[in-house]
Amino acid sequence: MPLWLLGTIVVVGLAAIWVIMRVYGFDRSLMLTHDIAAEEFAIDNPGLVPEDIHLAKSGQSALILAGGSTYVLWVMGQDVATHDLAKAQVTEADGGLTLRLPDFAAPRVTLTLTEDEKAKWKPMIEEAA
Amino acid sequence: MDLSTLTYPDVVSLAVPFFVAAIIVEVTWIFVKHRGGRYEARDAMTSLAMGVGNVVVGILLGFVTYGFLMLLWEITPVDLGTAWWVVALCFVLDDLRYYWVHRFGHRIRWVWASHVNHHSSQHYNLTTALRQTWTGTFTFMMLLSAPLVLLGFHPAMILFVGGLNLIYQFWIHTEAIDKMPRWFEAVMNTPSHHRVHHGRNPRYLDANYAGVFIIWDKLFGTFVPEQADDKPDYGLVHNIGTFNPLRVAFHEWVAIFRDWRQPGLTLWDRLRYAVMPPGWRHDGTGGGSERLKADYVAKHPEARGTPGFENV
Repeated sequence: MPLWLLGTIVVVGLAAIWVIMRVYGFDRSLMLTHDIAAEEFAIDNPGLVPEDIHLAKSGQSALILAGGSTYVLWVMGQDVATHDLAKAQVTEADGGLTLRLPDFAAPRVTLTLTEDEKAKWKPMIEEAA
Repeated sequence: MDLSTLTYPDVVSLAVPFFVAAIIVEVTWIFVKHRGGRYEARDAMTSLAMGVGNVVVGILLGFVTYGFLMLLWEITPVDLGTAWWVVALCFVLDDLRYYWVHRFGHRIRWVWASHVNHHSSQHYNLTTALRQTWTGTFTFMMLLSAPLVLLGFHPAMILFVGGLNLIYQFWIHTEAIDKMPRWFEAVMNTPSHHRVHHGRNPRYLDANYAGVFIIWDKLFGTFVPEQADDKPDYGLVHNIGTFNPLRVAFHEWVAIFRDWRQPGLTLWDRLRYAVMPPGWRHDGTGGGSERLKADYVAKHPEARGTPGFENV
C-alpha cells in the first residue's frame, strides 16, 4: 500500500474514531466519591489500606493517608492514577495546586481545588514531601 | 532456489482499514448495547498514537532486524523454500518464538521496558491491541528469530507470518466477545484467554503469553483460565498517570536508568536492575508478581491451589 494512502487512512480513521467517541460521550471524566477513591487506591497500591481520605469538591482528586505516608489520587478519564508525595513539590496555581513529582510518566499534576482546599492541602503535601 | 528477491505483502499495512472499521463497530456496539467493554477518548487516542508510532519506527528501524536476519540467511546452508506447508510451519514455529519473546517481555525488565506500554491502558478494547512498542528493536529480541532462519525459513517469510500473528491478536483485545466454542478455546488464543493476560489481578499476573495458539501456555505451565468470580481489572499493577505517548513509550526505560544512577550499587546490582523481573529491588523491598500472589493468598487462603495460585 502506498505510504500516502496508508497515511490518509490513518489520519481520517483516527479523526473519525475521535469524533465518534465524543458524540457517544466517552470523553466524560470519572467523578470520585469516598468509596470509589478508597477502592481505586487499594487496587493501585496492593497491601495499602486508606486510613483517611480528603476528597476534592471537584471530584477529580483526593489526598489519601495510608501506611504512614500521604498519597495523591487523581482522575484520568474514567480511571485514576495514584502517587506517593515523597519528594513532591507543590506550588499554587489558578484554581488549585500544581504538583511536581519525581516520576517521568507523571512529572506534573494539576489539582482543581477551592481556596479552602488549597489552604488545607498545601501544608499537608509539603509535610508529606 | 534463488530467494534473494523474495517478497510478501505488508499484511499489517493492508489490515489498517480493517482495524479502523472494527474499532468503529466495537465502540458503536458498546454505546448501543451498554455492555461489552469500555472506551475512553484520550486513552483510546493514546493507544492509536502508539500504534502509528510503532509503524513509523518499523519503517525507520526495520532494516536492523531484517539486516540481522539476512546476515544469518547468508550463512545458513538450509533452504526450505516457499511451499505453502513451509509457510504454515513457519507460522506455527514463529508463534512459539512469539510465546518466548512475550514471556521474556514480562520477566526481564529490559524487555518489559519495551512491552510495558502495551499494558499501560486501564481499558481493554480493540484500540489496546494497537498500543504497540516503539522500542522493540532495542530489546534485541530479534535474536529469538535466529533459529528459524538457521532452520531454513527465509527472513521475508518470518516477517510475513509475524505480521499475520499480529493481525490475529487484534481481534482478541475485546470484552465484546465472551467465550468462543470449547474446541476453539482449547487450542487458540481467544478474547477470554487474553483478558487474563491483561488483568492486573494477582491471579492473572504472568499468565497466558500466547500469540495465536494457547497450547504453548498449557505446554509450559503458564495457562490460567478466566474465572467468572475474578473479573480482570486491566492495566499495570501500579498504573502510570499519563496519556502522553512519549511518556508511555519511554517511562520504564527512564526508570531503569534512574535505578542505575543510584549511588552505592555494585555492578551486579546494576545489571540485575535490567535483567531481573519488573519490581525487583536490590534492597529486597520490591514487589514482583511472586510476592503479590503470595500476599494475596496470605489474605485469601481459600485461593491457594486455585488457577493462578497453584504454586503459591
